[in-house]
Amino acid sequence: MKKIIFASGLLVQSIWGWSQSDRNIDLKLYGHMQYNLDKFDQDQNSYFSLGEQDFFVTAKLTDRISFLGETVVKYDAATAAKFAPSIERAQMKWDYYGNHSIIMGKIHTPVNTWNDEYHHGRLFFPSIDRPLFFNTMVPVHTSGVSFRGQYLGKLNFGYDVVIGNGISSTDVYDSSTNKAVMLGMHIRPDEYTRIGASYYNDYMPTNKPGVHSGHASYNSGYEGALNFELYSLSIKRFTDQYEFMSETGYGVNTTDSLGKAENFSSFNYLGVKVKDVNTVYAVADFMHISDNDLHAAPGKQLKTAIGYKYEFSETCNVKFQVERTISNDSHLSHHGDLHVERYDFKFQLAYGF
Amino acid sequence: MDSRLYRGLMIVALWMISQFAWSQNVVYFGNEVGMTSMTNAKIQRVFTGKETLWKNGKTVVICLPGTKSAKAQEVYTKVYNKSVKEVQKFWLSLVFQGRAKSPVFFDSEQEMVDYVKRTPGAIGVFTADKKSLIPSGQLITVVN
Repeated sequence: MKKIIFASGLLVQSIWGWSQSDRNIDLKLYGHMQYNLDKFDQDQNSYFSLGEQDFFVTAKLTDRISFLGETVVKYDAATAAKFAPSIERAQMKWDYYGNHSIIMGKIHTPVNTWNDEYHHGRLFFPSIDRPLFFNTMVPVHTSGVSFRGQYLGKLNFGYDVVIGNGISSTDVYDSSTNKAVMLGMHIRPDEYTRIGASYYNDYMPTNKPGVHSGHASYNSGYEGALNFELYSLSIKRFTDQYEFMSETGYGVNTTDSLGKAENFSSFNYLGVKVKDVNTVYAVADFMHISDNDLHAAPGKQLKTAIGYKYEFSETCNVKFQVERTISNDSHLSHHGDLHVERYDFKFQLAYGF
Repeated sequence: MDSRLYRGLMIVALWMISQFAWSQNVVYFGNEVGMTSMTNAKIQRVFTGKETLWKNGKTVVICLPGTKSAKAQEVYTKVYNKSVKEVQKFWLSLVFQGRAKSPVFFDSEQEMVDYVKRTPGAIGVFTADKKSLIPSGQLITVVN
């Protein structure tokens, strides 16, 4: 253990030294810490938690080839130390022409604005948690190849075409020969606005939850073929006065046994900025997984929240959030509890430097 | 006596106005960026990370005054119309998204000049009072 710590220290020091001298490597750390107070029925919990610690590195290898890596150390009950590293992004990018590039590696599937912009950086999250459907409907990661264009024309049009391992794959293997495909496009008509839409499809000969299907995978036990489709629409407008974000997902999971299962989710965020550093915000987040769905856990969930964010600087902020969650299915509730209504107070300290 | 006082006050006022106007100006300069003049719109696109490559194929490398630079706020106001904190936040977010390379930040104008000189594709900006540091042929004229 001491050797690992020593070696890690040397590595960080050498990277830091290199980054200072040649400016080819940039290393940053993002992370968060949190306090939760929750109440459901007669149960009440109060606890502090150490959040994800995110090591973010970018490097310029040649004029046109660059690397981006995001490795997160987070709580993992399955390990002896209770914390484990997880490679969330590792991608090589080749800028081959103008604003067009080809990316290879493990990426955050750019199905919507949240997954394309915030990744694991709580510092950038407008609210404390990701939208609900990130746990069920969103294929968070893809290992494969992405063709990207950005800031094209007057509307700053952008496109993403991603071909990669599907939802049921691991980071190093996919038992299926067919690949998942994502087509996405967006515009940025001004510096405050981003409007995007995408389509994702993955045909799984054998349905199973994988590391890419959200961060809280659910195993339905169904092992037959399943066609996973997700249509997403994102609208984001963050000005100096107010912030608005809407993430909508419509999913269709088709099986021979139960036919088409139609799922729907909508996350809506509205914040009002006061004197630059204060934001008062509200969140309404709804998700419905159809009863005949064999990939995600069926059920409905509605979360409403109000919150306040204070920015100490561009590298540190705190958020306070009070929320009420109603759900009709145990699988969708936090920590797998069986309760259908719960209240949470959350405090989050997020940083990045 | 009154007229001398009046003239003195006028001179002081003119000097202050000239200093203010001077401080509001910035100069851009680049090394092998493929052009010697740019429109305001092009400058805006470049300095907000919307351009990856120059037309000559060189990678765009943005050089900005660092947070320790005394002139950072002046330059950021002129280029971005934002505070130092807002500009830093903007770049942190954009780099984290993987959509742009981080600018290179400098605490002194001379360091920036030296870096641009040895980096093809680099473009820098600082206040106009340091214009004389820019090597010949690197100055970029801004046209509307």
